[in-house]
Amino acid sequence: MPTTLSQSHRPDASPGFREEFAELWRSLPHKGPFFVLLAGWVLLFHFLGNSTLGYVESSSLFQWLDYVYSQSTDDDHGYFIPLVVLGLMWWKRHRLIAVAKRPWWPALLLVAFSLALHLAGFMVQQTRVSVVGFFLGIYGLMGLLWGYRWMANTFFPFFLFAFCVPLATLSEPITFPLRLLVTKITGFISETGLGIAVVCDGTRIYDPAGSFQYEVAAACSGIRSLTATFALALIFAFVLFGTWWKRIVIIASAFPLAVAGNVFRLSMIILAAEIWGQSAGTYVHDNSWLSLLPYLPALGGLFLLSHWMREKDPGEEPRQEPGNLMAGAQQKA
Amino acid sequence: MKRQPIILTVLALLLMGAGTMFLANHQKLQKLGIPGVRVVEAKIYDPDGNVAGEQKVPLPDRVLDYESKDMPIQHEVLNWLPKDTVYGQKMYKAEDDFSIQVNAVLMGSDRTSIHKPEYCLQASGFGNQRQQEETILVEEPHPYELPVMKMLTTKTVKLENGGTAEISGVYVYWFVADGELTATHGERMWWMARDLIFDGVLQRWAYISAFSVCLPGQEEATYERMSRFIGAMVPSFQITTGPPVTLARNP
Repeated sequence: MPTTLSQSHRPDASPGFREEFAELWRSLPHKGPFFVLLAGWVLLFHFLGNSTLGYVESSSLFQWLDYVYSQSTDDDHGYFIPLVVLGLMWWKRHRLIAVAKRPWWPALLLVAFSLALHLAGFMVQQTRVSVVGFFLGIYGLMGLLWGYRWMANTFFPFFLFAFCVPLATLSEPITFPLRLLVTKITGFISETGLGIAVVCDGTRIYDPAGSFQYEVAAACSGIRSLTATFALALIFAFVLFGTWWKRIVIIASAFPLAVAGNVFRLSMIILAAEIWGQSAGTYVHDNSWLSLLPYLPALGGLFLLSHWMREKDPGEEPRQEPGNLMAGAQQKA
Repeated sequence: MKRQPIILTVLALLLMGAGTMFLANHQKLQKLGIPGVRVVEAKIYDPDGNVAGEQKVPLPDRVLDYESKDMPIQHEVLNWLPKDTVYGQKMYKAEDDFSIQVNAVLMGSDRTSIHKPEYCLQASGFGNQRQQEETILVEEPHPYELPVMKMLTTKTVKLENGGTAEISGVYVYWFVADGELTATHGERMWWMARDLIFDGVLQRWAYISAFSVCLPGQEEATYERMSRFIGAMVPSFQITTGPPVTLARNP
C-alpha cells in the first residue's frame, strides 16, 4: 500500500503564509519583554510626543504626524512607509529567522540616545526631532532584546523610516533650485528639441506672443517625484544589488531621473499649450492621470539601469525546500 | 526566562519613566522670555467686530506722512494660530494713495505662532517668490541696521473687462525677540533651541511684516519707499535694537 504523505512532507508543497509567519514568530525570543517595552515607548510618544499645540491641539506625536501628512502631498507618503518596511522585512524573513538572536546591552545606549533626542525635540518644540527619536528608539529596543546581528540584518529596510520625517516645509533650499533647474532645462528642450520659442524668467515660462504662461510653482518642483524615486532607488539598491558601488550608482541616479521626469511633464504641458492653447496645457497639468507622467522616465530609468547592472542572485537566498534538497542529492548521486 | 533580558527590560522601562517625568514637568523649568516689541492692554477685533484678543502690539497711528487704519484679524488666522498669540495689524496710506499693510505677530508659549510668510502669500494668490536679505537703517534710539528679508512676488489679477494683468508684491519681514534680531528662520530657530537648552528660556519671538503692491518694474522703487517707512516706524514699538553703526553725514 503506498504511503500517503502529509501536506508538510510532500516535496512540492511550499509552506503557506501562516506557517511561515508562525516560524518567524517562534524564532523571536523574549517577545513578552519586547512588546512591553514597545507598548511603553508608543504610549510615551502618544501622551508626551508633541509640544507644539498650535496646528494640532494634541500632545500625541501620531496625531501631529497625521495632521502634517494630511496637509501636504509632499509628505503623505509617510502613511505608507510602515507598510513598505514591514513588507520588506517579510521579504527578508528567511534571513531574519536564521540570524542568531540574543540580548545585547549596548543597545540600551541607543535607546537612551533616542530618548534624549525626543527630550531635546520636545523642549525646543521641534517635533521632527522627536519623530527621529521614536523610530531610532524602536530600532534600539529590537537590538536590546534580539541583538546586533538582528540590527545589522534589519538596518535595511528599517532606515526607510527616515521618509516618515515630514520635510516638505523645510524643503525650500532644495525645491527652489530644483524649480529653477527644471525651468531652464524645459526652456532649452522646448527651444532646441521641440522648436517652441519660450521665455524663461526665474520660475516662469511663457511664449513671446503671450498665448500661454506657466509658473513652475513649488508643487511642480519635482520634490514629490524626487522623494518617490529616491525611496524606490534605495529599495532597488538593497533588494537587487549586493555590490556597494552598484548600490551607490542606483541611489545617485534618483536625482537626474526625477529631474528628467519633471522636465518631461513640463515639456508635455508646453507642447499641449503650443498646439491647443493655454487651456490645453492647463488640462495636461491638472489631469490626475497625466500628473503621473514624471514617474515614467523615473521608473523606466531605474528599471533599465537595474537591468543593465543586474547581478546573479544578489538578494535573499532562496529557501531550501525539502524537495529541492532531495533533488539536489539525487543529482549528485 | 534568563535574568539578562529581564534586567535590560527593567532598565529600559526606568529610562522611559525618567523621561516621562522630565517631560511632564519640563514646562515648570522653562521661563518665558521677554518680547522684543511693546505689548499693551487693548482690544483687537475679528472681521465681525468681536473681540479677538485683549492685548496687542501697538503699531503707531501715524508714520511720516502716512495715516493708518486698524485692520481686523481674519478668522482663518485666529483659528490657525495658537490662542495666546498677540497681534497688531494696520493699513498705512500716504497722500498719493500708496499703501503699506503692516502685521505684527507675537508668540506666546508656542513657537507655531511664527510661521513662514510663503503660506500667507500663496494663499493670497501671490507666487513666483524670490527673496534676498537686506538691511534697513533705523536711526532711533541709535542708528543701527535692521536685518530684513525682502521678498518679490507676483500675482495675476482679473480685470473688469475680462482680461488679466499682473501685479507685483513687495514683502518685507523680520523676526525680533529680547536682544535678538534676524531675517532668517534658521537663525531664529537655532537661537531659540540654544536658549531653551542652555538657559531654560523660551524666547518670545515676534514676526513683523510690511507688504505693498505695485506694477511690474516698480519693485525696487516700492522697496525704497517701504524702507524709509519701516525705518521711521520701528522705533515706536520695537524695543530690541541692533549694534550701533556710525553714519557718514555731510559736515
